[in-house]
Amino acid sequence: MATASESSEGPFTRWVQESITQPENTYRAMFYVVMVFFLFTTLFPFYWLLVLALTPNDAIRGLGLLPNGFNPGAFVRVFEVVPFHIYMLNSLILAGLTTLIVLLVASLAGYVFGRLSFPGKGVLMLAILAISYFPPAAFLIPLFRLFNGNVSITLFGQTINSPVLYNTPGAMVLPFTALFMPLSIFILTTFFSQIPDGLEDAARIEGTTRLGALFRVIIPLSAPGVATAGVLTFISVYNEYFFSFLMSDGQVAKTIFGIVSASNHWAPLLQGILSYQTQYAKFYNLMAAASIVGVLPVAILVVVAQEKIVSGLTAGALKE
Amino acid sequence: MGRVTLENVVKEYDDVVAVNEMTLDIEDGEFVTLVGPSGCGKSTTLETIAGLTKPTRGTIEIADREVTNLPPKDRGIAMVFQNIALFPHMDVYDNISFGLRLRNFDTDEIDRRVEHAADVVQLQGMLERMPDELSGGQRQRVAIARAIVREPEAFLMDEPLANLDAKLRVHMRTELQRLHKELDTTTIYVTHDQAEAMTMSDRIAVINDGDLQQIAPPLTCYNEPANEFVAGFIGSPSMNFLEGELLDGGVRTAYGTVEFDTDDVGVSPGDAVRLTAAGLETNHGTLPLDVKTLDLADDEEIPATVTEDGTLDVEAADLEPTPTAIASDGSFDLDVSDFVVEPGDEVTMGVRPENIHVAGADHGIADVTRSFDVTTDVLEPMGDQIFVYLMFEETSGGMSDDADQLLMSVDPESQVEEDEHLDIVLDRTNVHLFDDDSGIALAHGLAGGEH
Repeated sequence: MATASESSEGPFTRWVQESITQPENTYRAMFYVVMVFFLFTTLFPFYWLLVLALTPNDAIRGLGLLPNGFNPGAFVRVFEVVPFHIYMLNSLILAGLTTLIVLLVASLAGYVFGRLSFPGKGVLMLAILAISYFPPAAFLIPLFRLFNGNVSITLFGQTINSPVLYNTPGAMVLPFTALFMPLSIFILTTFFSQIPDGLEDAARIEGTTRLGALFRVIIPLSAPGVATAGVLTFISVYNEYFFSFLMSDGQVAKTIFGIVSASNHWAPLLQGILSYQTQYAKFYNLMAAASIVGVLPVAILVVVAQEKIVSGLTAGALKE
Repeated sequence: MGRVTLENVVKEYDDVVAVNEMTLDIEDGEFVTLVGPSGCGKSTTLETIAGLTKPTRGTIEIADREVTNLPPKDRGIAMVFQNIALFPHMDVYDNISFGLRLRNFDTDEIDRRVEHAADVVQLQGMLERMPDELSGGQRQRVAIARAIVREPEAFLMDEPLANLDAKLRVHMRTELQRLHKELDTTTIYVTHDQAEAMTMSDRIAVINDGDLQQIAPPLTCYNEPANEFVAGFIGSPSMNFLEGELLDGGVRTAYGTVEFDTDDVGVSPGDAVRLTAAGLETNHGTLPLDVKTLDLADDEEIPATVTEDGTLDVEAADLEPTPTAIASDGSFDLDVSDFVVEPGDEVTMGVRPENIHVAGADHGIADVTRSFDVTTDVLEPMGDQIFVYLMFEETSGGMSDDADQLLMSVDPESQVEEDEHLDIVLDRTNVHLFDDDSGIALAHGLAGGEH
């Protein structure tokens, strides 16, 4: 029977029958197709940056898929033209500082939202999440005025002007913290709420306060969540464009020791990359090289924290 | 080690009262079990002692120190949890020493105490392991070691054996008893398993709906339950209950009359009684009257007379000092009307399965009631005894509810078949009578009366 029907049908029918009787093959083929597509869309931009960086700037016009020349010197040149390492360090410090503040405050908030019950909890959580959907541009003008000392409050006859934070870390860390806090609070709330009550009770009976139980038991057990929240915040701030560009005039210290001096205006990575584009010339090869160098710290961070992040991103959804 | 005292502790959640006016006085070194059905407030009571839950009202003292508003860490207690609650990110040593390290003990002292605790619970050589590498029983031992290493005033145990398998549970039960004998630390143990309650405790506190029903040694709870709830809850399988009406000289149930001397039941106006710490003493036994407001010493007693309106008249009005429960005119503020019985009252008769016997068989019981006609329904051979479900003649064939059914336990040698007609008798000295409205016990053991 089988041979008779096979001989009477064409190759397409056979293929359809085969994929019905043995769907694994079709699934595997589809998996590879999708996989290759995603790899291409994520990795091709990096490849393209590498091609740009290796091509000398004057040979860049009409570039194909392969580098037009070989100029690894661009990776050294980026540090000679501008103090790119200072820009990077500024970004790392801003991102680190923001991550620290966000994790500290979001841990406390996560404890309250995840482990206590009080009236108005849902509404408050919703309000905090709503903040993360506000367009940053909506805050810009008021914040700019605030951070330049243009807002004054008169209390009991005393007039207080807002501090001048323009060109300082404060002008960037404060809005970053506010913008990235809701996501971290949400992640940590989910994690903290899944730690069994018994563990916290046991810690409190053994001799910790509620805060002690949070830091000694709940946070260590939520390490994947804390890592996820931390890495997401760090990367977001490290990549941040809008506030960094507007809250600093782009100046940086000339040497690494000047980083805390007033001459360092805390311009981040992004302004460093843009500084290769001057009034007179555009060094696309240097911009590409700087972009690759700039990605490295984050790539290293993600590789190191990868295991925790993966379990972190899924643990929120899957309950044991 | 220390006493644990709860005074009028109330815990309310919104409009639900989880614990109602709980007063407990647990002696130094005593093993007290809080037992009751799920949701009866026993765990909440334990949590208020631990400090994990703050009582709405009332005071709690541990080792003669008021701790009502202290955080758990300052109460001098250690707790073992139902879900064991070991810290999964710490090894056994760190788990056991957690509390000591928080209190800044020096390393030598911590090592010495952890070693000792590990010895006591037989965990030598496992201190390096992580909790997920241990079996259920080993984890529970670590939790116990974590509790004893701090040398607390009292141990609180919240169903610590509930998550273990049946065999291990019995084993750990014995170990806990041995541990208590060795350490002699006040222990408050919560369980819904009455086998644990019966075997381990010095006293059992039976709780239902947030109210303390009875606190007494296990056998007292078994033989002289304060009310119908305790009678039904303690003992497995539980006591049989039959509704009836009190007559002059017996109880009439739907299936026949049980005769006895009704003078032995409750109290009647004019009776002379004595008040002691145990309750209301009559000439035929002790009735479970709540006398805690009198604050009587163990050997103290107050003679009184029952009045027509169900209160007490004090004969010795010159008591010094006058307890607050006695009014200035010499009458008591104690209501004994629940105990006052007269013919026509609705009562419930209770009898345990082992106190039902086949009529005419050689049961060796001197004082039995008249016999009842029943049909056997289902047999449950347990090995050492057989549980026989009995249906009364009047209802056999129809759908039965619990009220029409009796459970009898008989010797495995007995020749009992299913669906067999049987005459049974009750051991009169082990028949209990309860007031129908309040459920309060009126008599434990009846004497044959004039017929």
